[in-house]
Amino acid sequence: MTTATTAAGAVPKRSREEFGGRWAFILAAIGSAVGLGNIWRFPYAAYENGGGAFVIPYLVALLTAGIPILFFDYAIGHRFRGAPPLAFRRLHRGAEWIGWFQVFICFVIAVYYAAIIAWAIMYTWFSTDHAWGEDPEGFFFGTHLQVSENPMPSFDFVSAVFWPMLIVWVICILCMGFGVRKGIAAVSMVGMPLLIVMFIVLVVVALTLPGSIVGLNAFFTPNWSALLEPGVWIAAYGQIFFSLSVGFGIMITYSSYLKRRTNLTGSGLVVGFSNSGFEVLAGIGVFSALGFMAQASGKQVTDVVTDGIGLAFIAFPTLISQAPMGALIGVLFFGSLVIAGFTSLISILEVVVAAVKDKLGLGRWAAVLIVVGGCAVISMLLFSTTSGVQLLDTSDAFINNLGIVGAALIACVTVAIVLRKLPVLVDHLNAISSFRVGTIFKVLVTVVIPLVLAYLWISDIITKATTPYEGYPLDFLAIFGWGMVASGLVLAVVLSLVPWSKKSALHSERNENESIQTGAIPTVSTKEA
Amino acid sequence: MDPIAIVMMIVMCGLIWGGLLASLLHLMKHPDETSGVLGAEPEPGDPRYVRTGED
Repeated sequence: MTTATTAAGAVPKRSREEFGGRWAFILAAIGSAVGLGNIWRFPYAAYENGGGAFVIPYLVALLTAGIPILFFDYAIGHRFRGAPPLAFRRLHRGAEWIGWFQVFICFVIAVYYAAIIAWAIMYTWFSTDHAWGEDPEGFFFGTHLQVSENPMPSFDFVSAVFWPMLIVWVICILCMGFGVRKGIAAVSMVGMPLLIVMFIVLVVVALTLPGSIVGLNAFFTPNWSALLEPGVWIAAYGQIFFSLSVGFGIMITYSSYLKRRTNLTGSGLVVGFSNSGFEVLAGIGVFSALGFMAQASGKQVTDVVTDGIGLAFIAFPTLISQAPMGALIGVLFFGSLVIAGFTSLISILEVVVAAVKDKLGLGRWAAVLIVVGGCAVISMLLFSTTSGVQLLDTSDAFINNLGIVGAALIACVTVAIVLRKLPVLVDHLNAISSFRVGTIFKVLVTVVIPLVLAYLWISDIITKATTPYEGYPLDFLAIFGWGMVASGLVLAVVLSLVPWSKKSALHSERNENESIQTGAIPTVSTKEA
Repeated sequence: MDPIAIVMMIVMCGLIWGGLLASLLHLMKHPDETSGVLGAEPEPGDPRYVRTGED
């Protein structure tokens, strides 16, 4: 970090860390967006919601919600140059709590996300000798995770989860400690090309399996009548929203590390379409594999199709045991999950690290050791135990639907309707970006996106309030579901009331981007020009 | 594969990967330093550069 004297010559100010260039940022942003959901959620979502016809609501959702929210996040992060609490604080003093709520969401996701990466690391190894034998489901929940019947935290540690989780956290600390350029960007510059190559090889191998055409036929055959169902459109918006890593601070944080002149919307289009491009690739790979599995077991594709943990840790092991080159498929599939998971986890953690760093004015290593080290301890205490999987399932369901959707809804409504700051963001984007935004963007962020998010949010609240999630005990859901989200809201408000110290980024870090204005070059001094 | 499934595969891949290709070409045509309404302007560090919106 360097220091410089301001134009006024009064107070020396630090400059913020920056990405080395646009491609470092784009790869880091793609690395964040391409995560586990692209691989194990999109194929199922597309298949269940119209197959080939899903492309229509999916593209509409990408263009009317995904990319506009991506631009919205970029504009806030770049214009107000900070992690979410600092960016929202600079936007308006009363909006800081929204930033802290986004930080809380990232904290919750990070502590359980590391467990899934740890499982994938072990399954990469298990793939080499089909360690699950004839019963992948029993092996996963019984032998590997040793799941207890009582979902309440047990503190009975499972060594096969604990040690790989420790490795995940140590790698995160090391990567993030080296900073934005040498750590975060470097991981994505290596990880993303590697992920793409590995996944393309996986898709090619899957396409050569007998029955793959049956799977692809099931995946792409359109069900046009599905387009008349509102649920299919909501599913498309949900898929786009959850897979793009928007609405909970990641893109705000990453764009705060961009240099003053960065083509924000041009970069955003590449990130948005890259994320969707990878999802389509995942759909082809997964359904080729499921087609083989259906044919090998004499079933229909619809009988073997699944998503999430069931797809990765039960269906794929079954397939790996049956397929020619099964070990190779396993290593490529679980290795891809590990890399996609790592680049996403680092981006999620960076929100928390940057927020604490901004508020307290800490150095990079100090912030990383405190924040990531603290997350590591909590993560391993809660998720490397025999009750970890139930807690993970519940945390994931509540923080995604109530947390992320709620935070994005609050951010859009507050910025666009309450504070009426959208024109500032539009001017900022247009001042430095090649793809111009205007009235359509404003209507989308002010009306369309809040309506879609409100529908997703309220319908999920009603569902969870009327039916206990997964049949878990009510006291468990009250503490780790509803209570967890509510405590995040309270914590966010409390943290926003803590004053910013003199050392904090608010007072000691320059924000060169505030001077960007439309239609003029306000940075040229008439005295010196 | 059924003909309609092949058509939809081409449509889906064409639209999304085509969109990716188009956005890549668009970005490469528009360098950071000259994009947007501002166009080319003095960068921080240029002797003519003075911030007017200093926090």
